[in-house]
Amino acid sequence: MRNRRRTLLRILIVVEALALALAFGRTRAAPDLTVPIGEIFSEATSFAEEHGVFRAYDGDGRLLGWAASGSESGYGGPMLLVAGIDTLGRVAGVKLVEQRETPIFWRMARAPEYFKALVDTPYDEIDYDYGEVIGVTGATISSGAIVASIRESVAQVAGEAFDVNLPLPARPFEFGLLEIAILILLIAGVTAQKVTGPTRQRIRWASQVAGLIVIGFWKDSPITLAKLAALMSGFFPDPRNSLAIYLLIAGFVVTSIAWGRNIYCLYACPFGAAQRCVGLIAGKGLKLPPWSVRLMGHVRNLIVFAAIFMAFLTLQPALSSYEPFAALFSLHGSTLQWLLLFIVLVASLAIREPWCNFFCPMRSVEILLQDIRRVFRKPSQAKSHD
Amino acid sequence: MTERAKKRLSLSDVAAFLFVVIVDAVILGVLLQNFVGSR
Repeated sequence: MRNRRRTLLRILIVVEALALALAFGRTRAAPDLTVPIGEIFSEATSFAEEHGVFRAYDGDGRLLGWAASGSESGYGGPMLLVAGIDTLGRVAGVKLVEQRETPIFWRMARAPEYFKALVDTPYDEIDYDYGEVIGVTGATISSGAIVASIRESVAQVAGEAFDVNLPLPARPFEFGLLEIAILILLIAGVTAQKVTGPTRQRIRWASQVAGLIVIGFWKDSPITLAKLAALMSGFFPDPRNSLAIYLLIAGFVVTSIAWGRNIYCLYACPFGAAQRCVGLIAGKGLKLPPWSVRLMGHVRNLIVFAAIFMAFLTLQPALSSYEPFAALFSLHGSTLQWLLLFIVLVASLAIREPWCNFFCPMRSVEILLQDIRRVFRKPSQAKSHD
Repeated sequence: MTERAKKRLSLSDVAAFLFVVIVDAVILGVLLQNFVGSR
């Protein structure tokens, strides 16, 4: 009973501290759009806004052009851009106002070149191919968000200034091989709970290898702390093109609470599979001293708490990600992420799945969910656990 | 050297300590790089 009360207190402290950080992050005022519009129309001295479209005037009161903002959800949250169109109907400039992507994305993306290439293009002849922006594989959502934001702002200006209706493209639900694979892997994980021994191991190996290929090397879309932090911040990606992340996180949360062990990590996580494959080379795992296992658990929990706290405070969920997944699956990462990947893979030769057991942030989230499960179960059910 | 002292200085303890310190330092470095890089 005392244990349950202590666990409940711990959960409440963590949740309240994070809620306070998020509340603080959310108090930030909306950006003043006349600043980036003034940068697009450098001679502008005054602005007038009607129906979300700004008119920019010079000192003599002459109209220089129109500008509007567009917003679309990227990987880390909504992105806000402003596009300006001059009086001849050509693009005067595009400015990024707000973004929540990782620094590595901006280092790889060719967004500035794309923005520059758009200047002087007639508003109805813009090339909305996000392949021009992308520069990096595995970042289609963020690159697509840049292009969709520009398209939205240009459509607004076209409607208001030129009375031209530029229809936004229809967005069908993307339910492809990735989504099907995730469902199959989660179902395989659930089914494996009904069997024991070698059959369960066989199912686990098969689903992990499939996860490694599909969720890892092909699509590079494993669960990351950034994705979870984005959802917790209230930045919900469009389910029509991000169904996979909803399926993965639902599988993770539901099975953690229902069974106390999540199916995602055991049966679908591609990075866990990669470590298991490396571990096959050396055979039996080395046992670490118990004190170090406890220490690593505490340090990991602290790091995860601090990362989410900072992500909420700055309202930049993408920054909480420290996993080396992109380095392995998309071959993109900072020097430190490459170093982290190297250490973890080398350690996998001697220690059983070191990332999963000691450093993965999702392990801390899983422990928190298990604590919640323990607290809210009936005392008779919880007794055997406490 | 006593048995207890020998145990305290075992190679696996030193290796485990170094492992914890190095990996966690790299992780903190990645996070710092993210937050500083975004400013």
